[in-house]
Amino acid sequence: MRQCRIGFAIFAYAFLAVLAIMMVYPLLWMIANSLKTNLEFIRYPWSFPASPKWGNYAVAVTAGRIGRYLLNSVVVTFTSLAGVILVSTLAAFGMAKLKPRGSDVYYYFILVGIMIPPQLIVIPLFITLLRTGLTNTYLALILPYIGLFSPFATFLLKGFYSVVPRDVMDAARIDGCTNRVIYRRISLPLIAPGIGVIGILTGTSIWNEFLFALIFVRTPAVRTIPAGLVTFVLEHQTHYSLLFAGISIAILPLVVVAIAFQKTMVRGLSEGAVKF
Amino acid sequence: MPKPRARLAYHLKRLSPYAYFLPLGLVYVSFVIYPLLKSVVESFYDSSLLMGTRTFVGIRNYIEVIAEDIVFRNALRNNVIYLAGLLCFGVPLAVVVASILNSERIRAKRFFTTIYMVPYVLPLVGIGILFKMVFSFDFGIISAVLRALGMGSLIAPWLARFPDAIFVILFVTIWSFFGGDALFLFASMQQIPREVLESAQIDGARGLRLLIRITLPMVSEMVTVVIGSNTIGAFTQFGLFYLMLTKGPQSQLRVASTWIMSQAFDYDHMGYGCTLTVALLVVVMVITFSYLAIRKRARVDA
Repeated sequence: MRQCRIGFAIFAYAFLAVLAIMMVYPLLWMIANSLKTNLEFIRYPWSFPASPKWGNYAVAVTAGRIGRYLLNSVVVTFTSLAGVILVSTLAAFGMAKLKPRGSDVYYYFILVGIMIPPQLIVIPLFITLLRTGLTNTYLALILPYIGLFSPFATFLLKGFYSVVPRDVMDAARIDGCTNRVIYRRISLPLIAPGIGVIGILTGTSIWNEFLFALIFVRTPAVRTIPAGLVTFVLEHQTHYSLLFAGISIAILPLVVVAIAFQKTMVRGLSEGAVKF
Repeated sequence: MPKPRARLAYHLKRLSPYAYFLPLGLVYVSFVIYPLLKSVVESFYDSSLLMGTRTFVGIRNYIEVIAEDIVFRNALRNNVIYLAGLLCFGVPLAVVVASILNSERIRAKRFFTTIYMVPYVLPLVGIGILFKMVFSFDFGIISAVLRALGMGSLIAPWLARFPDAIFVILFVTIWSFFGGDALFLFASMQQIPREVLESAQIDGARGLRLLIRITLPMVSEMVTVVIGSNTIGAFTQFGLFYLMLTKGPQSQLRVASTWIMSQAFDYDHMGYGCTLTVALLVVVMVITFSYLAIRKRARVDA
């Protein structure tokens, strides 16, 4: 029996380690190659760079416009996220705590939104944005993102809100607080982990969103990272080391997010009444 | 006179909770529901953005989808292959890893989950382009490895060949999404009280049996979510296919979403694009609801 356990442990660790290497190696390969000259890459795609060419990164950020794309992504993501959090906390609070008549119907109505993939609404949204002249602006992305990601956020937050005991609210009411104060001063701090989960989950989804970003915005001035990378690749098709540099800048900061994601998700799922 | 004002205040107060629903409702209806309905309406038209025409054609579009559009049928077939791969490899992998991590004897859980999360948070665009290079014919990693192993004959332009390309993209999909699925399952498994697992182990259930009979049923909701999202994803995946498949009129390698986008934006058949979208939605809903129905029946029996 003892041998069986040790065997299991060894096998399990080996398995996990192999997976971990497979996750990481392509990224390391990319970074290593981004520091070579193009010629060096084509001849020796497998070696370590002879001498790191950081210049590739500088070119990618300036002439390749990756810097601009990063900025746009930051603007769009933060604004959309703020919108989503605002809209969904309000709605979830109303659904979980205030419960006016018809909340259930409303809840199911919103739930449908979770199952709608962006493809279904891309075409008409594009036509509408075109007609109202909003294409190629930040709003062209921000507004649809808020609409697209709020239902899921609301659904999650409702779960978090429902764990907050009624007594807290009742006590506050007795002390004379209005609903608005209860919402802002009491419920929000209590569901902070829930907001953390939404922030990470929705934030990464918005940052990485590709379809809308590609179709609704066509000018480099407003373009976000996902669409920007595509353009970048089209512009520098055969300059592979430069390509790798561009992609690296665009995606490596997210590694930090991975760490935060892992932490928040496990904590959030355990603290909130997240019923899937 | 206090009376009319008091009545107004009363009504406002009664309605005030609904104010909390308003922002969400507004955004949701404007940017999700309205376009969805518009999509259905447009599907009965034949419209071109370039020429600004819009003619009502009734069911003609749908007839074309069902009877004449071979490319769409092939595309759906590809989606099904893709789905099968995800459900047979991706999901089980996530389940296995989650349960291994859940086991007490494994430490460094946080280390592994963090590493597995890295691909999950990366934008598909970056991943798509990177792996296009990795699988590249000339200087990709895979080609080099095969050459080193003496299996040079296996090297081919995979991303341009029929079944190969789908398998490659399947691999990349699992590479990027497996971490998230595993994490969600793992987090759910961590919720299972230790006593339940321990008492089951005392009763003699170990390893695979423990997994199937005890652990999985206790996280069945999360399993459904994972399977459901993989299913929907299998039919709506756009980014990876768009980026990694070599462009061209080959109808073999299309997927539902790339064909829809191609029809709508490259060929300027906006109305037909909406028709295809609705058709796709129907397919997805049929599959999802069948799965839910089967699940319900299995639950009742158990």
